[in-house]
Amino acid sequence: MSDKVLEVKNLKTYFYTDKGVVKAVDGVDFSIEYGKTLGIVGESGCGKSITSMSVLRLIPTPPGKIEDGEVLFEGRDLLKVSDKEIRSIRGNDISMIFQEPMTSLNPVFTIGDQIMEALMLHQKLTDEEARKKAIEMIKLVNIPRAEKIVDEYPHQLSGGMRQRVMIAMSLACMPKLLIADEPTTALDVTIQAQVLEIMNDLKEKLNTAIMLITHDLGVIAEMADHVIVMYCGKVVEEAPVQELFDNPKHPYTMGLLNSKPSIIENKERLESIEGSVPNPKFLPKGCYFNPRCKFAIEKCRQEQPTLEEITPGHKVSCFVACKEVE
Amino acid sequence: MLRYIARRLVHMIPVVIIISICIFTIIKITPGSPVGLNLDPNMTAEQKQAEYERLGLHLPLPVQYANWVGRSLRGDFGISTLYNQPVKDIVPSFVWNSFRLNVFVFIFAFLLSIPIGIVCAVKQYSLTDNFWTVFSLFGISMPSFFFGLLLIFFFATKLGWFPISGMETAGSNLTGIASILDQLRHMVLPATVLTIASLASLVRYTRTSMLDVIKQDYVRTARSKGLTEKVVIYRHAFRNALLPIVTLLGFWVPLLFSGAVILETVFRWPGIGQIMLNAINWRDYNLMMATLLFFAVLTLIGNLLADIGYAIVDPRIKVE
Repeated sequence: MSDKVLEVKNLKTYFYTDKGVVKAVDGVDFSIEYGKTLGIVGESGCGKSITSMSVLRLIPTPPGKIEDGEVLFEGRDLLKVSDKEIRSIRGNDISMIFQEPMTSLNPVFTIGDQIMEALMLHQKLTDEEARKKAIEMIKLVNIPRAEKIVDEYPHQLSGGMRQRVMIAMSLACMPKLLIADEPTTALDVTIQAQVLEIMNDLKEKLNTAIMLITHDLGVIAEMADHVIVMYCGKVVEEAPVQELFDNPKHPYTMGLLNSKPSIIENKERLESIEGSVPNPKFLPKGCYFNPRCKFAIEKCRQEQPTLEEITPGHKVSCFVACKEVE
Repeated sequence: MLRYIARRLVHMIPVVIIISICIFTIIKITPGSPVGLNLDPNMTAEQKQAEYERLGLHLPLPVQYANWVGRSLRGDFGISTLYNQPVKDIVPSFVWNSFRLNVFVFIFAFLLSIPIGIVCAVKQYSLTDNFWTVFSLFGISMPSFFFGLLLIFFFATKLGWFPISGMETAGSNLTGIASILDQLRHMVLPATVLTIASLASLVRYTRTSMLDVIKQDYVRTARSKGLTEKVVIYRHAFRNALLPIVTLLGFWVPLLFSGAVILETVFRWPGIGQIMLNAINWRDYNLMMATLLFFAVLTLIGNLLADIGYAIVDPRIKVE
């Protein structure tokens, strides 16, 4: 058996709207190894969340539709299995944490109820066992007074506590893969650090692979083993985390890294990437990034680059970067 | 909870007093008086004056109000000038008639509209949803008196399946089950009109409320746990969609007892709606006061019930 827990090949998720087709995810490939963290970075609207939701087939259909590709989880194509099978995987083998802890928990059920639900469904635990396990999970994510919290409602907790409850909930069944979609975006910085620490901790304890979606490069540096950078529904660069930070190849990645504040270099103004993400319904011809790219050559305006491996483990989708290497 | 209810009930007292003053004033400043409407048209001015004084209408308004309050507190709501009977004997039986009809409508409307509304929301823009949209449009825009007449025309006059009007067959001495069946037969047409009208808006209401909820993040969370669609929709989503519906239930409480004035007239259903209309037309002050105040109190109780219902279904709301 391979060491890959999840392998996504040529995933295409399109949205059919009245005003045209939005290719939210357009031919994305990546894989995650057991116990490792894959970071997915990109600006808002680049298809990160849609990629993660596609893995568990949580895309609202219509308007969305997974058009093509394979999502191999331990060799099984999740896009082809029955509804019943995908449900037995959701929350059990693969679980998700969402961006908004304030709205991701159901306001009318207690914390305990919500954690117990998956346990009773997948692990067939009794009420009592599930409750015990729920308390244990709440303790695991460092929430004090677990015995009390289990009977409280989401509105009685702070944002950081709710996100920790989400983590407890998603890890209750010991999933092999945890998809975390911007888990810390809505939290303040000190809480962010705590939540990330808990995730890292649990990854090591439970050997869970993590697919971490974020636009925060600091989080990536802290957490990820391997990184993919997405732009307009495509992967533009893929590399181990150290390599990506030391040696970014794609102009977009460079732009992202440059726009990050640093306490070592004392920059007057942060650099930004000129322009903004194009409307997904009217993507530019050639490389999608060419209108914003400082290095664009004529070829970039005519043809679409493909993802090429330039050094072992480091792939980039850019004509200029590939030429440099040659 | 009990303390909260007790406090709310105490708060109701000043509200009821203010409402009663308002109703009393409006009724009394309306032109016309019961005198002359209920007596021989040929009576003399002296007789008229005597009647005024007998009814206490010559006194200043505040005194009249005080008298009314004094009597009412002792449980005496006065004599209806129109029916020549104590008000407290008239109102309950007519309220009961309205209630009998409304309770059927209430049960049918809620039992049907909630599942229909949910299905419409879950399958938005499907054939089912579109059908109920058209149905609702029809139900909301069709005037009940006209729809009632249509039903009478087809099902009572043409087909003869149901009686034209009334609450039971006149002159029949049916007892037991036969009597109940007879009354049910009389109820079918008016109940149909009322149910369709209520169903129309309730379905829209449930649908909107549900549509709101199924787009929420926590519904996605529920799905991501591997729960079946049924559990996601009926447990996670519906519990939340129920909150606005509880408010509606509160509003329905007074409607249960109040009569549909127009419909009761069309079907000659001897409900409280008709009585109230008559009371207003004949300036039957005592009967008007009693019925209007009765509805005001019911509305207040309905609101209280809605608030209590809220606290039961939504843990975020604390009534203490």
